[in-house]
Amino acid sequence: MTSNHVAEVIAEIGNVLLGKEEQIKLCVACLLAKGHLLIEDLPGMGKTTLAHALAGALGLNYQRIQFTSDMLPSDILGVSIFNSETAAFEFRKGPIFSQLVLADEINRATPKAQSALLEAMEERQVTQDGDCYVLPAPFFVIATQNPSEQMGTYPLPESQLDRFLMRIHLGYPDPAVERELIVGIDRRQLLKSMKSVVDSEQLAKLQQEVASIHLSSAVIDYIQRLVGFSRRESVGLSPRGTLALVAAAKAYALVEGRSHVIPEDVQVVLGPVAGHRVQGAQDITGHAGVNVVQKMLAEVDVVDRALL
Amino acid sequence: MREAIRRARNVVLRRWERWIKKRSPKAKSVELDQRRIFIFPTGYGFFYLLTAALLFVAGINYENSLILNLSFFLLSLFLVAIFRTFTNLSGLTLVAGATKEAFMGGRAWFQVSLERKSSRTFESLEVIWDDRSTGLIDVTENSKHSVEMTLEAKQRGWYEPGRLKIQSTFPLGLLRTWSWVHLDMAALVYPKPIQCEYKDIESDGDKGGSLAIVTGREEFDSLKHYQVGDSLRNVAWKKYAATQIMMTKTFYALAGDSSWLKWSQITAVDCESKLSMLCYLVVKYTEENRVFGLSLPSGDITPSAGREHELECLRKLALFCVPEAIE
Amino acid sequence: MKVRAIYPIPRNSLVLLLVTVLLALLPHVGRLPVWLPIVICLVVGWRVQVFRERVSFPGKVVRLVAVLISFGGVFAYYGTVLGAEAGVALLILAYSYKLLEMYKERDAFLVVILSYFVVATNYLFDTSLFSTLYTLFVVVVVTASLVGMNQSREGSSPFRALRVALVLSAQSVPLMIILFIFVPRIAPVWNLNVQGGQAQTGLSDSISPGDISSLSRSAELAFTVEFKGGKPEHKDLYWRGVTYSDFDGRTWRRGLRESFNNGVGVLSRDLVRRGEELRYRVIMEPTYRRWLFTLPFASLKLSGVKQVDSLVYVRDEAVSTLFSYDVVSHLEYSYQPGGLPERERVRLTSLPVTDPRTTDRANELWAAARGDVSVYANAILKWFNREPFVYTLNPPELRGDINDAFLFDSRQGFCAHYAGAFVFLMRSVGIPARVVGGYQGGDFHEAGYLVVRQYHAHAWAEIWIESKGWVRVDPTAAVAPERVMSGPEGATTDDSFSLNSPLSPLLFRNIPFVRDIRSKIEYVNYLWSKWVVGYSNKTQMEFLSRWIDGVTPQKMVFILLVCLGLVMLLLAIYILVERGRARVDPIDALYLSFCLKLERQGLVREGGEGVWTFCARACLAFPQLEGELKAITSLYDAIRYGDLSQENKENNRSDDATLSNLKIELRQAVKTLKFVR
Repeated sequence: MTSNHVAEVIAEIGNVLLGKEEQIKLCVACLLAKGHLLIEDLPGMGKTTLAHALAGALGLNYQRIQFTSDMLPSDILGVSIFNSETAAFEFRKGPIFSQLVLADEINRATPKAQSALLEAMEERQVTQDGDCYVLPAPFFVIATQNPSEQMGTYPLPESQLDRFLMRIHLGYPDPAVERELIVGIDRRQLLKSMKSVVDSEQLAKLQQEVASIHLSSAVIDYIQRLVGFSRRESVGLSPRGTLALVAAAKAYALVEGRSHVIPEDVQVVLGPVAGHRVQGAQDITGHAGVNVVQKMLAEVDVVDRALL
Repeated sequence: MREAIRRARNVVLRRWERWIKKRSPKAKSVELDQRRIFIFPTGYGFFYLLTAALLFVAGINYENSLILNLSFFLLSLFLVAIFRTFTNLSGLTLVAGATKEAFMGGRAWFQVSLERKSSRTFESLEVIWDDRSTGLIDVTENSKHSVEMTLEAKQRGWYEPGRLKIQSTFPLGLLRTWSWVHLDMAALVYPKPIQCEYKDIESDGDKGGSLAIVTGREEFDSLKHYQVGDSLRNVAWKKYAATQIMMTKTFYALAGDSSWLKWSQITAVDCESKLSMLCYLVVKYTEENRVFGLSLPSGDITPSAGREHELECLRKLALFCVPEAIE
Repeated sequence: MKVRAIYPIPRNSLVLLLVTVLLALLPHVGRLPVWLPIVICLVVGWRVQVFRERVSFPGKVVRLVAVLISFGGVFAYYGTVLGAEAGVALLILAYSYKLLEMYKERDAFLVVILSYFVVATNYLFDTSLFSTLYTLFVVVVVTASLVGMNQSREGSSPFRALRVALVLSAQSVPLMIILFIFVPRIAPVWNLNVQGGQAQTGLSDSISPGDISSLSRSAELAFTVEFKGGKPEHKDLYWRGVTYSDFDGRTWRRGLRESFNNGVGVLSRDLVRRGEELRYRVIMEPTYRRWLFTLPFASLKLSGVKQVDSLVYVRDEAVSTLFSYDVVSHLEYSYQPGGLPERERVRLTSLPVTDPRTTDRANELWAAARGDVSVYANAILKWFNREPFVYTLNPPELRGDINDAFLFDSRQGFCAHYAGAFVFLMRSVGIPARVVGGYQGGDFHEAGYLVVRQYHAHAWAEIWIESKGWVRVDPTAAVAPERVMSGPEGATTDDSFSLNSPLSPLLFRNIPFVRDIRSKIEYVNYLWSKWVVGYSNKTQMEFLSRWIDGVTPQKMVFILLVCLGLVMLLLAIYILVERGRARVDPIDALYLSFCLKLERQGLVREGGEGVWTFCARACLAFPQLEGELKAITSLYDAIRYGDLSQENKENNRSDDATLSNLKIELRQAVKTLKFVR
């Protein structure tokens, strides 16, 4: 029944964003695993549409923050202003107080603004003037980063990249899909007519269900072998990275409608989860990390032939 | 005469040390193999063989083939047990694990991990270190089992626990197989703290110091939520009066306000006592949340505060004048 | 060791130990005085209560008193503490009392060692195959309790200990067999034989009417005979054991003054052997008596065995274990044809003055025979045959002069009656004669050997005839010739040949199936007795000389060491190398074999390829097999990745069952996967 929900969500988003089923699944898995998503792609690839569609299908309220270099933390978090009527400071919530936040071109903002966002992502609360404001639940950030433009940007440091559960690329659409885009109706029109498939309560339930997905020791072994391999090959996956991998794999299994994780789930999420963790963040193109991931996938055997 | 015996014993002991050192050199991880494993019957084993011999005599005497056969069975079982006991140790890997530092005279903590790399399991192992045994350990279900042990820290600096003995009499208790393993691990041992008085030397009053240290006492920094345990002196009572919310004022200190713990200022006869006193002071100052620097003939540590600073100072003290310090 | 000694015995191994004690004592129970098993039960019960923490260990005084009382009891029962049975009883007492002061590992070890001894003493009384198999099982359990004592507290489990013990025992069996075969058997140089007191079986020192009948009904094995070469005819199978030459009016006794000849001297002068020689080996069950059974005339060379003037063989010691000896016999012979020594003649014709009617009849017949011994003997046999004499195993009791009562009043009797009366009749007229006790006949087993049972026991007469020497006369044959031809069951003219054992081989002897099984069991028992229990110096030589020329102890030790070395090497390889080999999970191995099948078809699974990815690729390559491929993959998925997997501790039984079903399905699916081109 719940897997029906997930499937419906995916189908609903798939109607809007054509030919990107894999990315949508990852995106939903990321959300179910209570992680945040970093999309690295060129403008116009459908990042906004994806975020929008996700918000629509899941019935989340949605805010978009366009990051610029002159941005201040208060532009994101909110600001305390003096209300002369009540003679007290009053907190005006910023755009981050929203269930789904699209942080566009996060690498354009200064580290100060970036860290304000990332801290809020981690803590799921905002502290201003000693007062604490809890962010809504579920809280999901999709940040985008433009890898090709390097001028005047502040690439996210390594430690910050770690806060994103997954990093994905949307990529160009297939010719057939592109044709549909040209011929068909405007996708943005569709967004408005989207109906929400689940409400936030059901979403919370789904998120809980991720934890109950069975992870057999065979799969744990496989994950450990992957992690061990990555540590031999390069700066390997940290324990936090391993946990992230497990959470993502479980969520992906749920997305696929299974009650247990199979190695394919791990393989699918390995790239998005480990790609930005195994190599230094300086490598903004992410190629080295991706290479390591590919090597991991190719060389670590799914079936354990080694010692038991 | 006695002197000669003592000397002879020393020679033998030294030889033995040398030989065993060559056999089991120091390493981070040691896999036990036939070069390192010794095996010998236990007292029970000899008793058991005596039993077999008695049954043999009885069998011959009564011309009873079946009693003879029982004695042969006992002997065969003993022979098989030699292999089985040996395999209960052979292939086991010991890996040096974490250590925890200690003050001299206290107990340093060591961890050794017993790992298996194949389907072979190891049962009823016993790790003996400094005449202290761990009790019987199985490495059967998981591929590793870590053993923790606290040993008395006998000397300042890097304390190496030396060779440990791992032994087993499984399965029959008739034979004991054992091995001496010298794992390359060491725990840092700080000097033993000795209480003393110390007259603060305020530093040259360089208030313009730029290093800000959290949890200092001097300059106001910001407000944070009150947590149980925060000093009531630091509660922002004005704010509380206005908002009914308990807030704690946090301060930072500037390096310039720090005091120095100086080697030369300690009055003690020998080097070790000086170190011990400094050690006491470091611990005390940290407890009091003070900013201090440490000045030793071997170098200075710039003033700071906090747990990390304390550890750094203690480490410096521990390794003071330790010749083969492993940095 | 110092460190270990303080460890108490793990509880799990204690359970095993208590079970061991009971198992080890079980076969002894029947042999002990009735009160002893009760004492053992009390002691074990007390120990169990201590184990359950209901009571504490008994105090020193209680223990001392209990030990003294029961040792006194043993002494009172057996009258000694030295005999084998009393010794075993004491050992068993000590063994069970040790339980009451078993606190530490050391005590437990002592109990284990004592268990081995208790098992060993069982072999003194019972060497049958069944009992040996049972004791082997006990030995494994004893070993398991030894293993249990060395298990760690967390890992201790009686079943695992049993498994380890079983594996160790199995591995030591080859070594044991080699030791058993090749360790040279030395004859005991010393002799501490404390046998005695056991119930003696077989023929007794004396015959008086009634003795043999009790024997005749028992189907217990007396001895087996293996003939090398020709087999004699059934009628020649007179196994001589004892000669009875002294008569006191009621009972025939062994000659107390029998002298031993030193073999060759007497024989060469007085003995003429003719005809073919007969070679055979007799494997005798323990009788706890000294005589051996042979066919006449027997030559038997064995240290500790002497020949009596009456040509029977007597051993220095009682036969207390399975005993075998080789004999060469000449069925045709004449002994002392030239004449008897005077002393001998007097002894063998002497009679008490009894049985007047019999003496009268003897004189009558002797006069009719006109001094011809053969005619006289035949006349007596004819008399037995013609008059209504009855062969029965249940004759009436005879009062007064037994020969008179038998020959003229009751006229019912069995071999001993007829033989005794016949010899009496002979001696009355001055013909030297004696009663011979032994066995007559035997059953040939399919495998070729002869089985002689207690019911084959028989008595007959031997008379001395001038110029012929000693001649065998079997008066029973005159009354019931079938007794000689087919054995006692056919001979009785009434139904007195009844059974006193429900398991007697005579029961159901007409059902072929039962007979067949019985004969197989008998054969196995025979082989067991011959090759295992009877594996002595001689058997060993014989066995080894089948393969080795000129067996010497040196050669034997050499071969022993070589074989031992070889087996140890194999064991070493097996234990040291094999056990350390990497083992793939069986399900993984199954899946890998499935991959191998596909690989032979040219479809190789990449290392990092997940099972479903591979499945999809395989389905593309072999679309006709899509169903099977998917089935195998989903089975593997369910077993390895599904939430039924083994590691779920809280799994209930139904899940376990499902899991094993899935495993079986997977195994079959992989097995039946076929590629059709």
